[in-house]
Amino acid sequence: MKERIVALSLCVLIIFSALVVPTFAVAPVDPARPSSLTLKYARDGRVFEGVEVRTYRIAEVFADGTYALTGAFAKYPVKIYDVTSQSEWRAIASTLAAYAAADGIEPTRIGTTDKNGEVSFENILPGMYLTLSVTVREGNTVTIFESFLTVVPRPDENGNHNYDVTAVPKSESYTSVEDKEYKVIKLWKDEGASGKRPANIIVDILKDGVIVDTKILSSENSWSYSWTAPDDGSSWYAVERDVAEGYTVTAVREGNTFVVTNKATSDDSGDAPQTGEMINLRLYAVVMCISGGLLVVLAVWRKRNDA
Amino acid sequence: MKKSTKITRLLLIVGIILIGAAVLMTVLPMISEKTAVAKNKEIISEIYSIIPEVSAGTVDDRVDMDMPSLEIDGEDFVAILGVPKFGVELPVYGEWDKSKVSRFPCRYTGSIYDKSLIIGGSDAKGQLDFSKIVSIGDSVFVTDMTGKRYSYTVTWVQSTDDVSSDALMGMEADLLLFTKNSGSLDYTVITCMRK
Repeated sequence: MKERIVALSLCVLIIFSALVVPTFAVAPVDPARPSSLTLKYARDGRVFEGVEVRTYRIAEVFADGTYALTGAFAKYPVKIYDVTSQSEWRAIASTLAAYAAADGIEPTRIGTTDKNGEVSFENILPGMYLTLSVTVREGNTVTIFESFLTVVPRPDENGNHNYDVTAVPKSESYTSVEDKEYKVIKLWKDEGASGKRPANIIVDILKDGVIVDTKILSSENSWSYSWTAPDDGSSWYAVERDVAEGYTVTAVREGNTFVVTNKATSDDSGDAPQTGEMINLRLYAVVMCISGGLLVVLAVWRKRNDA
Repeated sequence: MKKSTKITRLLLIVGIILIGAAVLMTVLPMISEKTAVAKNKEIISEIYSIIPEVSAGTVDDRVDMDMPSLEIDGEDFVAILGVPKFGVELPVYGEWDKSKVSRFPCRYTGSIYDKSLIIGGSDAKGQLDFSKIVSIGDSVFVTDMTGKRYSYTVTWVQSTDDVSSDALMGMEADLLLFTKNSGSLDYTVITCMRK
């Protein structure tokens, strides 16, 4: 009897431990393990040698694989958790790249691509890395490698982590023109909370990392501003300053337009509203007309009777 | 004055007032319809001058499904609704507001990005009046304020008197448009699916 009780207690203890003690579905990340990041700059079978590449460690990684903005980037109102889509990551990269350029943050590493178009950063700490956009101009052809984010280590399908990561940035090419029109526009994601919206925002416009203009956007200018500049391969950014409390920010470049979006951190949208009682004026008008007509007919009839 | 005469006069006055009110209720909306159509064209033009160049949108597995809004003259717009067959382009107001429905369609609920967008409006001229003549197979597009355009095909057009939130959100559609039918008590609901 005693043995059975002991055996049963052991079983309960094992089951309880399995439930309570956290287990990793994937292997835990080693936040201090020396890692490497190799970037390859190539397009349409062509490699780009001699390109200066700047990369920033924008977030630290924890053993459970989560990230948090770190260092000079910790102060920016940019959300990097609960993100799954490429478009959202692109927006984050674009926003943080603009801040890095605007605030003159020193890169974690700087390197130059070799004859294979590759640059390697060795002995780096695990984390999330932002690599700035690079523009290569050759005659009338401009090739732009977008700013992008890379995580180190990169998990594989078996739940293991690869601490030597290789990435190939996306690029686009176009034929340059004399002058280009650029725009910065302000959008909002604050349904149900638009009362907190500021009356205006301040945007710095940067060319090659230098502020060339500061604009106030408000309802007076439809929250937008445009300017023309020679298409000389310069890197342009638009950065929102002093983001209003209760909002996060993203700044994405769509073509020649910089879309700065503020999203309210609280969601007061609530339940779907009622659709009914969309007033049917015509129906009321018809009813009133008929009623009025009947009253007039009645009045005339009474008058004739009285007469 | 005899009581009978007084009553007769009262009936006549009330009758004339009712007829007058009915005329006003018919004429005033016609005037505001014309104004709304002109104003909407201005708004559309301004939106296009501000937003990035229009390009095809893709639906991805983003977490943030909120549609960004662009503020024009104190009013937030989240999309442009277009029906090329009828040359219709309308600004879509960002939230459901019955006081604005007569001027432009309003986003009732949902988002382009998770295929849950429901837009409601009036069937007045220059608004969603195409709902009376739209057919299955017609194309509809919705452009968001980042210039991304999403294309749809009309798959069903029905009349219903139930446009409660449960009924609308229970319909299978990537995009739902609904409008109150003037002169009757029911609604037209147009179901659209992504191309």
